[in-house]
Amino acid sequence: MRVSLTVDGVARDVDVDPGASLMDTLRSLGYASVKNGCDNGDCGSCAVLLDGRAVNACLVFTAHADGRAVTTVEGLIDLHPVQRTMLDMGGIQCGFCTPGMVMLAVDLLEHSADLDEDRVRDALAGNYCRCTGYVKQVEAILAAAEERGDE
Amino acid sequence: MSLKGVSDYLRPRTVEEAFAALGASSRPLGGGTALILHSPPGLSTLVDLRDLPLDYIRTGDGFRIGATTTLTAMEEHPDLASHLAGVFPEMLRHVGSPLLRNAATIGGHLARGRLSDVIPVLLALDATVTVYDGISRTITLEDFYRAGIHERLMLITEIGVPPARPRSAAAFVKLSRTFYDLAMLNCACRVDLDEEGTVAAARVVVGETPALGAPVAPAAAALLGTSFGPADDEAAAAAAAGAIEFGSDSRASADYRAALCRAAVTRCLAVVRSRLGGAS
Amino acid sequence: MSDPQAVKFDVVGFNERKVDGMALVTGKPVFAGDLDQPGTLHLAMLTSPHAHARIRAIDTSAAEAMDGVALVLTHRNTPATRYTTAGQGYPEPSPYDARMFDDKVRFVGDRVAVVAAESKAIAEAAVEAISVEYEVLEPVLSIDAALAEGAPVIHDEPDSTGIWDAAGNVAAAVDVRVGDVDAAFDDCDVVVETTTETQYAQHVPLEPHVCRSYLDEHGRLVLYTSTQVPFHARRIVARLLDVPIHRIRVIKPRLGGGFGVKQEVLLEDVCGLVTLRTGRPALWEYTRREEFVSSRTRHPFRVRVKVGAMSDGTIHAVDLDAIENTGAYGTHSLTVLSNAGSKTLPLYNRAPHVRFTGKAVYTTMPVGGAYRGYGATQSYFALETALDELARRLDMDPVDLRRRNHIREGETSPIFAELGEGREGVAMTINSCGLPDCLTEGMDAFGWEEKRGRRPGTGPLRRGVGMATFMQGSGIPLIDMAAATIKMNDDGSFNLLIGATDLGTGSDTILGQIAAEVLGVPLDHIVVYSSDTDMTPFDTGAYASSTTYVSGKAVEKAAIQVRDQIRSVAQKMLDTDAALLSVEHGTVVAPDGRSVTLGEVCTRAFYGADQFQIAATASSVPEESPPPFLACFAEVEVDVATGIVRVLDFVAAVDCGTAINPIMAEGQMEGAIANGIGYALTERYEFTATGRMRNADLARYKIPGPVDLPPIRVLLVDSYEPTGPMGAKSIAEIGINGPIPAIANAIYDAVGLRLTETPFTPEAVWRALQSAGIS
Repeated sequence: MRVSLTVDGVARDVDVDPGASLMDTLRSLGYASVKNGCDNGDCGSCAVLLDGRAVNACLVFTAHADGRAVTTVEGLIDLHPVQRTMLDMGGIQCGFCTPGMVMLAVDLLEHSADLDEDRVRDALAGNYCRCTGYVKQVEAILAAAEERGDE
Repeated sequence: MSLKGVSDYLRPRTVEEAFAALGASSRPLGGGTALILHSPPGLSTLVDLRDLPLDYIRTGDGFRIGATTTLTAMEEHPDLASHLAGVFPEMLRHVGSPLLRNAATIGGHLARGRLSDVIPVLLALDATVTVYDGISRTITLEDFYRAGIHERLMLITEIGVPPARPRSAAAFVKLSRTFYDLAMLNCACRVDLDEEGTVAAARVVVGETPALGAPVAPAAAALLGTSFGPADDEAAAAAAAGAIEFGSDSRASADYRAALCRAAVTRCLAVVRSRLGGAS
Repeated sequence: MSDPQAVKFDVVGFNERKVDGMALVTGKPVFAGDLDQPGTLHLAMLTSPHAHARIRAIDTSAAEAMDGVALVLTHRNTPATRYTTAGQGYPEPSPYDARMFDDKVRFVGDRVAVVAAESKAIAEAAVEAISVEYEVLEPVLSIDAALAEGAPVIHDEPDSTGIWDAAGNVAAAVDVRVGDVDAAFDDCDVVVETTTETQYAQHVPLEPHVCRSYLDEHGRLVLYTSTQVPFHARRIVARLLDVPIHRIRVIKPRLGGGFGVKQEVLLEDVCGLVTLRTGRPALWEYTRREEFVSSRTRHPFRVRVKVGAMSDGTIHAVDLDAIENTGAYGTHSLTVLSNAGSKTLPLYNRAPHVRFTGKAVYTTMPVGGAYRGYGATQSYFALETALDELARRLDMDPVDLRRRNHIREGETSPIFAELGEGREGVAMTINSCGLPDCLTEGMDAFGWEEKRGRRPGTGPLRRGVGMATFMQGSGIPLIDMAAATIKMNDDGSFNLLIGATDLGTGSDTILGQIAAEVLGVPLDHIVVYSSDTDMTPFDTGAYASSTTYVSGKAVEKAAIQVRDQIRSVAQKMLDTDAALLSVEHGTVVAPDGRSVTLGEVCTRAFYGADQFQIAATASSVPEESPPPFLACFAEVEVDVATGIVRVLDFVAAVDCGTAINPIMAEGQMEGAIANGIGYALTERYEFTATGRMRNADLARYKIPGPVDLPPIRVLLVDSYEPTGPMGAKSIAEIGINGPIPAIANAIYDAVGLRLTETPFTPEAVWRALQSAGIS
């Protein structure tokens, strides 16, 4: 079936199986940042924004995103503050979880005020990282929030 | 992961149209997050409900929540979030992850009718559900599951949360191995006091026993008419543990669940009491 | 020994951004599974449903006939060569007991066939169409079952080599004795004995194993693969496929985590064979289930430790016996077993009587492999909890017991010489030991004195504190070899070519920092390229915590040689003796202040006079393995009503020598500890009665998330290892050893229960509390 998505601001008309996941479709379109870490909707490595909210792309039917806007990390043209803080504060080791975590953080920073450590940890619950222990990613997100004017 | 064998994807515009499209090889989806992982054999048609006018949260005399409202929308709605001292966000933060909650809908979750932290809270609050199966009717959520309606051909259109009674509080407790996990056992309680401060109504709901959350009448009965002190928590917890037939699964064994039940009910009621302004 | 105070760095010791950080944070397609090639065949695998069976017949005709299927591989059409999948130096100290495809299967998940097809979906459908006739044999699902009289022989084939006792299901054994422990225990005032069991667990790299193979324009086989060991992979694949090494190129792109599971040649041979037979590119991506079941795991261990001490707290005798469940194949079996003793016993070198015995036992279960900590993690559970009990019986602070007994600078242990990686070790004297500072600073940051005196009370939530100390190693002495090539560019920048393998650990960055430090330039003037067997010199690969210490030394040596060449060119330009010239801040400076830029130096070397390429290749073979040291302090809260254990605080004070990049060193520790906490509390393989893993997905195999973990606190204590590059040792593995014993000791402090089996799941803790009558 024909599905019309906007991905990172670009109109993409694709022919997909009705059962195709958004993750598979995005990867086949070349959005390599959308990672398949677990085949099961558990790890968050495939997180993208759907109309501005972060979702597991592997858990969304492509057709469910018809007419909607998808944002991947490739769509962040200028370095988002949280990308910069992740880079500067040691929040990236192997980088496999990073795109999904960045998109989650972009959503979080856009939609939440008054972030503290506990709230950030809650927000990251669905983004597994095996390299870092989450310490510096939490710090990076809080630092980006502070830049935005949180306290 | 992508589903194989699906040949049709429909986007009906009305509830009637959507219901007419359901059948043995066709399933409705709200966010689709459960269906994409666990689909029935022979599934060939997906019926996406996103174009139905069911994405709303209406206030005034309790809440009426449209079935395609996402769990995040419920979490972020200021009035729903502060209802009964925040029992909804207290529970919702445990449901999957923000990534899941941004896509999953309340209607889809209730229709699945298993592995739920949400259902115990709604049962504790005497929530209602409006279903359409040719005609539209509103029943209690408790009746909805007791009669197995979630397993029939039907569409949930709306969830009703009654307004808070005066001197009423609710709480939710989840016991799990890690935070991002299904419960080993969960518990939602609500207690309403009368003017004298005795318990006029109570709900003690225990879930993932491993059965779906259900009210435990003997536990509520143990609270009725009491002044709701800590000793009453213990009595209710013991009644619950005695009344439920626990089972073993990969998350927890039956005897362990009985112990978890005693702890969860006791603690849940203590939180309820503290929200009523009493000592916990 | 150099005075560490005199060392002042410009690049080393700074929190430089990772050189690959920008690419990773912007989602560039830098992982093996990211780029597509036209004509790629996709691979899918058929695995055994039985824990132990012979393949009597296998019919692939239906699969081969399917539209889109290019090739089906089984034991009937692949080499029968015996090898080990272990990514180790040659000759590998692991038995050659595996075949690419065997006619016997030895665990549920063992490889039976691989299909190459136009798409993954077709390949998976074709896998379903293969029919296999098995002669099912009796499974062997525990160490005890494997060692029992009359147990089925798992490796009964005649052509395997290097197995200690195949008929007895023993892959490897160790026996090291110093003094006479049995007599010595009689002399001790206190003797503590404990037996601990650790479980099957998995590394869970977020990126499962993935390999891409293709023929380049010269018909050479290229393997673009998620590996920790590109050079070992090249050698092993060459032998298996009977292709000369010079016709194979292995390239490691960015890796999405390894932790040891990719120190293995698991996919490359099959992928390569598909490409050779079809001429087409091939891509094999393990599913998460396959990653759990059919790649490699942590070796389960049963460790019995007996420690005897005098009443003043001096440890007099240590007896350690380790039984390792190596699973169906013996990859890493001997070396992991050896490390259970070699990386633990020297820590308490004062004990004149030491015995270390052990066996690696085959079972028809998933295959143990290299996993961060590598045997030490499992045995520290027994050793450090035994010491905690010893301290209690002696009425000593556990910290004081460690202080009284741990190895110090200038000291040695007979274990160093006795026990290496599968063979004799290498004698060594400790040149740097920051453990005293680790203890002092760790205690202080943690609040050990205040928290230790607390009563847990009788409420349902009880708090307790525990500590433990550790060492590990830095590379494998006299065996590991690393090399580095540095060549200069005419703008004063350099290319650093290293075989060393960055798994996400940041080794490209820290090796670049070492080069930048020596050459007096900022990090971004070092262009790092790594892990390409055509383009980069040899390196054994990322394991044994070798990269900073061994590969770093090679980089340092090469940079020093390049720096000397720079001086030799500048000498002519500045008409000043080279020995008097200083290379710093992108220039070469004479004593009188005249200078030339590095760009000018290289421009002259390329185009001016006496032209030559300023470049050097240097190798490094370590003569010792200077251990990093660690002290961990854990605070837990045990809910006695539910058995739930929460880690409230975890402090890790580590001596890694110079931290080349402190923020990255902290990150390594934080990640290792988080992983160790999961290993301690929630991670386990659940098996059916017939040996199948029941929970092979991330919903049911529980790794810790951010809400489960406290903000882990890492302290890098001041230390300087004179034999290390810029004073560095290593940090990669040691952290993962910390949580199990520190948490076990804290649980004891909280509720008086000595837990001896991991993981300490809520239900397991609750049952233990019930049995002990604690409520």
